[in-house]
Amino acid sequence: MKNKINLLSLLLVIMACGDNKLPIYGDRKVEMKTIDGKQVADTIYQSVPDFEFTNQEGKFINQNIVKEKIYIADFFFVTCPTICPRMKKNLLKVYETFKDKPEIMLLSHTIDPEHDSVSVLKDYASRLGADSKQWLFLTGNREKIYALAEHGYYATALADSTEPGGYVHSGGLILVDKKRRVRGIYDGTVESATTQLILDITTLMHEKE
Amino acid sequence: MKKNKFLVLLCIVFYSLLFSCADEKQAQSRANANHGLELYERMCANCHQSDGSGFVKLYPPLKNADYIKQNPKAIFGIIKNGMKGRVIVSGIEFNLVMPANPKLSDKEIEHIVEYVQTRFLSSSE
Repeated sequence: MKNKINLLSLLLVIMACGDNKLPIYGDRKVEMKTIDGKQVADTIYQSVPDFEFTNQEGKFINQNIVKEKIYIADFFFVTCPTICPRMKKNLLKVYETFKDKPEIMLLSHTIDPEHDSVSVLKDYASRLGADSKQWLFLTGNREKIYALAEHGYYATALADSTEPGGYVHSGGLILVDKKRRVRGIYDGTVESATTQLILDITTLMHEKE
Repeated sequence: MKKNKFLVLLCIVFYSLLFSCADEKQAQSRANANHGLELYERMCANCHQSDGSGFVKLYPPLKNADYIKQNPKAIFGIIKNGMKGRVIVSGIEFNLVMPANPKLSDKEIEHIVEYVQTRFLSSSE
């Protein structure tokens, strides 16, 4: 296991030496700015909107928690019998890879806030072995969570009684940079996509503006 | 002499029937096992994993699980009706709700149970 992690670390360093630039998702607009008396074009990229939720410790948090951080967002629910367990298994690999890197965070949003109370999320996080400083499990107003999923992270989250567990949602792991711009969406149910996510996080950590 | 020939013929017919029944049973058993595997992968492996190892302290293991060995008849009901509350499996406490499976027929559940017992609970495993 240790050897595997060492090999992965080596691979990450090699990949980080490359000059890969990850794409920036969403709309963009060009604004003219005056710098030192000169007109300069500045590209403004779409970013994840401000948010306010409660974490597994019962603390209110907002977008400031991810200020100057790279983070991975996902949408799930505790009683999900289909894709969520696979997503969490893959996300746990991401967490373990960057466990000692405070600039990396994980934000898991429940799409079933009626069931997934603070205490349920706390129990779930602790069973997963997640540290509440780095891996946040968030609950809040259902409509606001769904709106953030759709407009902020290009994800789907809907209640649907015909689906197993009562909800339908996308299994994406969304990579967000320090400016809250989405830089990648990975299939959280697929191991190879998660490996790519780990590589891309490292690329992002070494990205120069 | 004629009596002996008749007896030999009778024996041949008897054994042919016996082996053909055994073949049929084996074929049926293989079909059930394949169906059980297919259902297990679709309905159970997301949480309990393909190798039955479970996942951290969220989803209990099935492989060599003492809870199932001690309650072999309980699996059918757990798959059918789901399960709530704390349960200790192989020394670890689990507390996540397992959903009921109202869309599975009794036959399908039987095939899953058979697969779980053969794959994860037999002494060779």
